[in-house]
Amino acid sequence: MRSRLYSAIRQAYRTKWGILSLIAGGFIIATAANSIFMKGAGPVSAQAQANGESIYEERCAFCHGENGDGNGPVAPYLNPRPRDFTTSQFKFRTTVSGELPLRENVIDIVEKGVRGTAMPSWEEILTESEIGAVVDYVTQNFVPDWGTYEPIVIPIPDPPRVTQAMIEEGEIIYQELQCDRCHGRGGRADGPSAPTLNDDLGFPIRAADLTKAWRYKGGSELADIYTRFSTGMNGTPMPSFYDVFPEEEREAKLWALSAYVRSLQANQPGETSVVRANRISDPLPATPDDPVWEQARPVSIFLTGQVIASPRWQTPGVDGVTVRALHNDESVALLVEWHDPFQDTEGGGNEGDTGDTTYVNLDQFVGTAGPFPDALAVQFSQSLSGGTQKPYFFWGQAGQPVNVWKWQADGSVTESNAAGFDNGLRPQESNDITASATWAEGQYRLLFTRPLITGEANDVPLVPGEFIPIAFQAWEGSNGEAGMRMSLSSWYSLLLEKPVPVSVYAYTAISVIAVAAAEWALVRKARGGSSSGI
Amino acid sequence: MRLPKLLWITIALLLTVVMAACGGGGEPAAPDEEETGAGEAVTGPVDPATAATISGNVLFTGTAPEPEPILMDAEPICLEKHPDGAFRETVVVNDNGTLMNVFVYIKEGLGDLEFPTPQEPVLLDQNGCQYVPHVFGIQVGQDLTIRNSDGILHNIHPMPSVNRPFNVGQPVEMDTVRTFDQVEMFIPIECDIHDWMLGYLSVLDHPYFDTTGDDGTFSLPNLPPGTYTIAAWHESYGEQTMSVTVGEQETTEIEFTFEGS
Repeated sequence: MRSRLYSAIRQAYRTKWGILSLIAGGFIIATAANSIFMKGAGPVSAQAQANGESIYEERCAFCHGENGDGNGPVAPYLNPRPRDFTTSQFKFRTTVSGELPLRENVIDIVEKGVRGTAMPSWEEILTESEIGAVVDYVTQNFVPDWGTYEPIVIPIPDPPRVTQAMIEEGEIIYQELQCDRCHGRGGRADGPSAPTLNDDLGFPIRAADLTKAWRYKGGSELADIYTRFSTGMNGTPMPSFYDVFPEEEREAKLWALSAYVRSLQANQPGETSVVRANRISDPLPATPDDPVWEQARPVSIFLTGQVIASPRWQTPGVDGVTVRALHNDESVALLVEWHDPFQDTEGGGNEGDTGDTTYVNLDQFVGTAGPFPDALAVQFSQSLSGGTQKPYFFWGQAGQPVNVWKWQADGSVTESNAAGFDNGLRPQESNDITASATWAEGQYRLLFTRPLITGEANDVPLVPGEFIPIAFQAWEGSNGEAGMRMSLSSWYSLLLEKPVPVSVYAYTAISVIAVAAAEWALVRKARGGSSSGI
Repeated sequence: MRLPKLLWITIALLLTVVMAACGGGGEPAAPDEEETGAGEAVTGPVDPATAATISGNVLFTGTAPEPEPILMDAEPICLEKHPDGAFRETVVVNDNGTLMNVFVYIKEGLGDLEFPTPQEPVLLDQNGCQYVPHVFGIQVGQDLTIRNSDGILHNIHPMPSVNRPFNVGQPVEMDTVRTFDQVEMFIPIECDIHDWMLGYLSVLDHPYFDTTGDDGTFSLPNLPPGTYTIAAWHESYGEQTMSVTVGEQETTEIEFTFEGS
């Protein structure tokens, strides 16, 4: 995964926009670039004179703007937009709703970064004194009210040990506070008010998907969650709930709620590179909700924005899918599950104005496109004879084509082929796949089935025991995704369990007999040896 | 500017008499139970012997847009409070041809007069998933009691540009008290849970403001005699101003007219 991301970024780097593209890569930069490029860079110089202004101009102004108004050259490409310091509004604070943050709150964000955004962690790039200097520069130069008064601080006590009783109480509080209005009953950000949320600047904003730890912008630990409830997030629809409880109950209630919300993060299966399809003798599951699926092990697969071909898409909606597979020697069934807070079934929308750069200019684009249906595709290498040489992970390449199964929420199910993203997907005449999907509470469950072997030359033969290259691609309609505006994974492997050959039983029997004989001989020898010693 | 101590005491005594005699100044359009501040101590630099009043009404001509219904089905508690249907309050024309929710206030003419902060709070109620009142004023530093009478989640989220904003969640029937430190007109108040909820709050440094109700009238009593710029503001039709002179103990009637499309 990481090496794929790396090559994707290098590719992006080579094409047009150079470093600008990389910064606009938003999520990718925040995660990948931070871990790949910057680790080795280290502090510039511990002795270097910490000059806030020059650090700001070198490191910050590109996003946050020369004047600190959040309007740097790449700002139109970022979602969320860079902080506009001149509004005096800061999301991550330990102060009462609407108040300025403390200096240490701003330092904290610069050190740790903001997950899921373009704001990276700077603690391994800048020294402590450099961070202090740049924070002082930002706050004293750009924040109008800075230093004019003492913000009211909300005390954040040490977190307690979480118990099951706390989590259960927290679930009741989650319902009482009606967190589900935005965050949804299961925490998947699909609440009834979620579609109409805007930030204070009027840009659409989404509630956090509480099941994904990496979507908690201000941190996913117990104390982080406690802080968010208590302080709210200035400039966003997230209010403070600090005054809801009487003072004597407040702390315990908020910890219980924090414990419950944190427990929502727990159900993500682990990531592995192989999706194993167990072989079953029963009929394959007929629906996404079939209990037979319990026989298949779920695997998490991560997706990222398509930033290889223009228009590059830096703010993907779907960042991961969970996959299960089963086969019965005749057909394979794949269950793909992913979170999408809003079900979009309508198609035929406007392409929209993506701007004149290779990345999508969100200022121009948002609101001009759609509607688009949600969609998901599974991609296979057409041939298994390539060995370790897989086709290019984004729609293959000349000489190494891919076969793509694509389902759309408007009901269309197509099999296509591609030999490079330049030429796009070419629908195939024969179609051997079936697909059916459900959507409930912010989650899609999509079932694909196909015979292991078809009569179509472009279809990958699904041979048990072979590592079959498989990849996933997703489109979230309400996020303006269609065509190249999509998210995609690198290659994983699908491994169909082989039937156990009869010879296995024969070998087992032979080895059991051989071991028994050897032991018998050994025992005899030992007995004989000890008697001769008397 | 230093005044002799004796003069200060005299002024203070005079003011005490004034406030006892006059009661509350311009009352914000709050529900009835909050308007009983008649005996309340409001001191001010106004001589009751000469105090004047500017009052009048706001007419509407032309065609008003059709009231826009609000789809409240998702909130049965609120829906029940609107037996005749819930509508946006963008333009509300009264039966007598006047315009409701016009904020009338003194824009200029008070000079350097300073007014004390009223002790009684202004009430903003969230009732039936709407703000009551829809348009209102408050004085700098005066308490704003924000009430949730619906008992379902509202978040009170004003969008000021001069004052500090805040965003407080009220998931149950409860009150939250907040104040505003700076003069600022027509601050939108929004609820992110219910995107149709919208109100406008103005923060003034004097008590001369009123909002037209279902009879379209307004009244600005207890004014020092003088010449004032009176402004009338409506969220859809903008602001009109008028210069008005009132003499001692006079009551001057004025009229604003807003025209629909």
